[in-house]
Order: sequence, then structure tokens, then C-alpha cells
Amino acid sequence: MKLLVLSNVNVSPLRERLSGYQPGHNVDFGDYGDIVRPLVDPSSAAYTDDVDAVVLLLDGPELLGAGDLAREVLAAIERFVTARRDVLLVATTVRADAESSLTYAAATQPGGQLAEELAFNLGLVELAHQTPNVAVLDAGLLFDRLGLERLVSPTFWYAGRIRYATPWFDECARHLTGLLAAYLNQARKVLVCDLDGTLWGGILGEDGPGGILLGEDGAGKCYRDLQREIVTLQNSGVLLAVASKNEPAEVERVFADHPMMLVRPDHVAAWRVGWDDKATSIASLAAELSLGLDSFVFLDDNPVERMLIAEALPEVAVPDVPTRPELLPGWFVRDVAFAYFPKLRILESDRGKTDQYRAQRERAHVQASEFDLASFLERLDIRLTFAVDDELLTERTAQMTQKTNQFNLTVRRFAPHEIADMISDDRYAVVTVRYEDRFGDEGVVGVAILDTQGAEVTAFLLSCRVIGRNVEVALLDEVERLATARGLPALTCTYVRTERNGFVSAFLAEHDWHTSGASGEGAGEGSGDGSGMIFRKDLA
Amino acid sequence: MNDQLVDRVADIVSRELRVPRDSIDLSTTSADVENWDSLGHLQVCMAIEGEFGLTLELDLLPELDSVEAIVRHLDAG
Repeated sequence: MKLLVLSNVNVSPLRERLSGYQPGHNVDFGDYGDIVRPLVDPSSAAYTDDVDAVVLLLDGPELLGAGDLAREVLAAIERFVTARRDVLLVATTVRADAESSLTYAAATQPGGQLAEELAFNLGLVELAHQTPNVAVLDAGLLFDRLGLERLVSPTFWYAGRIRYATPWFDECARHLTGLLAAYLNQARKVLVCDLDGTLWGGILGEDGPGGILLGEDGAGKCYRDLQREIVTLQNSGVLLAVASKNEPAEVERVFADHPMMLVRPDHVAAWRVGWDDKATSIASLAAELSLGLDSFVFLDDNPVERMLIAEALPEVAVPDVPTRPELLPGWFVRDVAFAYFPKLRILESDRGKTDQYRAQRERAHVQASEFDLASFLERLDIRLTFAVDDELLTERTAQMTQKTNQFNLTVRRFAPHEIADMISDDRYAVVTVRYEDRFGDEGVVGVAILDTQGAEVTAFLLSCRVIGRNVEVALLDEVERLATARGLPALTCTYVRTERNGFVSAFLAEHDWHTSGASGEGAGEGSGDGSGMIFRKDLA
Repeated sequence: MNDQLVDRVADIVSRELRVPRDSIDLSTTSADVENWDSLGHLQVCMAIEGEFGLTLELDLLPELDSVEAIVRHLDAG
């Protein structure tokens, strides 16, 4: 990933720190002070093809109270993100210097720095609401925890326009790294929680449901506040699982009846309550949720359990849990949510994640007691809805091409702006399929892209949640029907084998597509051999 | 001269200026290292502040232009 960092002050100490956090990132710095021109001048470095993200670190005191500068910067940002929809722009909000010689009048002064600060920040936030490729790094994240007293560095400001001391740059590098990880879909997906000493204080098996520490007073409130943060994270699309050595009936009672529990059974996508060792539990959770262990984060107050997981399942992230309950809520936000589950924005499809996985399990249950696939599918009462070139589905469609690894024939990834371009171009038909059944609404679960000019299916993929229910067959039928309607005599599709999509290699052949050769190079994911096999079907 | 201190300072200079550690010793001055320019100098001084938990004065910065000068300042402090 190539970054360009622009700032109105000297931020060169960031260079080493960013490369330390993310060795793969290639970071360039603009000349400090030069922030408007690079955003509006198409011949500047920000407009070169290889730039993936532009980071704008804005110093409040320099930006505000400088005539029209703040408004110009905002307009320049808007212009840039409109012209370069393929580039992520990260901008900080700004802080005015509250300590002015105008004293208290600084805040009431019309057009003063405080008014300018609020106008700039609101403008930036509103732009981010409307524009998918704008991310906001709130200045509060860079200042509040460490405090200005510790950060402001008059020596280096006057020596070389470096406003803040080293901890600010550490904080800045940490947050930029997290933000880029979110952008690259590298966040983890599952939080596995222990119960005793983690979700509540005390030991359920010894203290009983009435004796555990959980409430609105004293140490009990620490755990309740931690639960509130966990529920917030769960609502943002993270799956929550429970791994606890306890009697299942006792645990069920607490989750169902304890008046102070904020984490409710509905929030939990999967349970492992019993006496298995936790490594076995987590490995089986990964299988149940069809997710890799590198998607998991494990919270447990017991250092022995943490060590066991760290050794047995090294891909699972195992943060150290503070021993003092009063530190739990703040620690969770900073060292768990920000560290492992960074997110740039919450999509509608994120909100129902847990319901989708729970419905998935109930379907699996039905499947286990059935032998006849056809009757199973019938009992599921599946309803599929196809949409062609629906621009409201742009983000979800792009997200699916980015994230789907298993049932993905061509393994081509598209950014939202590329999907948007194809939707508005008659040459392409972007087909999505939405899935509902008696257990719930899965939303969009499949995408196919038809290039009518090249008579080619350039993308064909299906969420692993609905594999095995003939959705893929219906989607393929729909694509063939569209191609026929547009008068195409035949279609081709290049299947690119990776480490994870081997099981779909026979799919096209099973539906009367014939191999017609191998392509020289595939869409090379780097994970497989990258070579493509061309399939063809005559539609006449 | 405190050898341990010399090593810590040389580590910082090497890291901040991205030059091999074995090219830095007590006798190294800013004139010997290409990356020890004005920006490099600020980074070395900021790192010294951070690692030793002290605040350097503006007037002092130009004097800290060699490993030895930095070590002497730290030793005296």
C-alpha cells in the first residue's frame, strides 16, 4: 500500500514509526505546509496512479485563524475525493488552541478559532458521511489520552515546526495503522469471551448466580460497563462467542435471568460451555462459524488459559487482560476494539451478522436430521431475489468481491468505485442475489458480473453461508438468461484456482460448461498458482 | 565516559538516522553521517528526550551535534 502524508506542520518523525508498524507500506511525505495544492493540482504526487491513500494531518492552530485557509482545505479535500474515488483520504479533525490571550472571549468572538474549528470539523464529518473514500481520524484519539501537557513541545516547534513530542507520533502511527487495516479488511471477526472473572466478577460455580459481581455499584459496575462495550462491538458486526468451563445450565440461567447482564443470549453467535479444554473449544468454534483461527480474539482473565491458547493456537490473538476490574472497560476499547476490530464505517449488513450466523446453525441442525437434500431445501422455504445494476448495492457488492474466498470462480476484487462504474455502464450487468428463508434474511449473498461486450462472466461468487443450497445454480441460470436476452451466442468464464476455492473447480463443468483452454496468467491472488482455466458455454 | 550511555546514544542515532549501528561510536559527529542533517538532528534530539524522559532546551540543540556531546549532556544532567 502506498501512502502520501500531507501536513501543515512538520511530521517527519512519523516516517520511521509507520514503517515500523507496517513494513509493507510505502510512505511518502509532502513538503510541510503544502496541503491545498497537492489535493487540487492533477500533476501533483497525490494524483499519481500508484497512490492508495492520502493522509492529511492537520494542525489546528496553524489551520484556524488563517483567513480562508480552513475553508479552502475543506473544499480541496472534497475536490480530491471526488476526482480520486479509488484513493482513500484520511483527514484528522482539528483542535483550536483554547488558550488564547483573548481569554474567555475567544469562544464568543464571531469568526473566532472555536467557531472555525466546529465549522471545519462538521464539514469534514458530513463529507465523510456522503463519501465512502473519506475516513476521519478524530483529533481526540491523538490527544486526549496522553494530554497536551505531555505532548506539546515548544523546543521542537521553534527548532523545526514539529508541534508534538514523540508519544504523539507513536499514537498517530498506531491509529493510522489500525485505520488502514480496517480499510484493507484485515480486522478480526470473532471475540471469544471467558465468563468467570472476565464477563463478571467471581466464580459462578462457587458464588452462585446471585453471588457473581455484576451490577451498577462498585466492582460490579466495571464488569457491566465492559459488557456494554462488548455489546457495542457486537452491534458493529463482530461475532461474539462464549468459551467457559462451567455447568451449561447455570450459565444459561445467568444469561436468561440475571437482571444486570447486558450481554444476552441473542448477542452470542456460538457457545462452548462445558469441560473441554479451551483450545479444543476455540478450534471447534472456528469450524462451526466457518472462519479461520486468524479471525479470532480470545479474552480470559486466567493467564494459564491465555498461555494455553497462545501456544496451541498461535493464530488466535490473546491480549493480556488487566487484573484490576476498574481498568477493564477502558482497556477493552483501546487494546481490544481498536487493536483487533478496527472499522471505518458500519454497513447495514454488519448489524445483522450474528442473526445470520445463528440462523445458519439452525439450518445446519435441520440439515443433520435430513437425508434428502431436495426436501431439506424445500423445508427451508428459500426465496431468492435477483437485482441487476442496483446502485444501492454498490458497497455490499464490492465488499463481497473483496472478502469472498471460497466460492469465488474468478477471484477478481473490485473497489466500490469500480462496481459503480460497471453499474452505470451498459456494457456490464452487475447481478446480485438476495437470500431469505424461514430462519431469516441473509441479504445479498451472491454476485455475478457479466461483460456483454467480451461475452464473459468476469465475477461469480457466493457467500459461504449459503453454499450447498443451489443458490449458485440459480445465479448461474440468471446470468445465462441475461446473456441470452442480450443476444450473446456463448459465454466464457475463467476459473482461477487458489488455495481456498478448489472445491468449486467442478461447478461449471457440472452445469454444461466446457473447458476451452488455459489462460496464461490469472488474476493472481498470490495464494494459489494463479493460473486460469477458461470455461465456455454455447447458449443457442 | 559511561560506556552504557554511549551505547544507548549510539543505538538511538543509528536507529533515527537509519545508518548501520557499527558505523556509530563515541567519535561520530553530525559531519560524519549524511542523514544527520537538520531534520535528522531534530529526530535524534526528540528521541533522546523520549528515551531519557527529559526536556531539551532550544538553545542547547545546536550543541548536541555529536555522540560525545549528547553523552556529556546526559551525564551532566
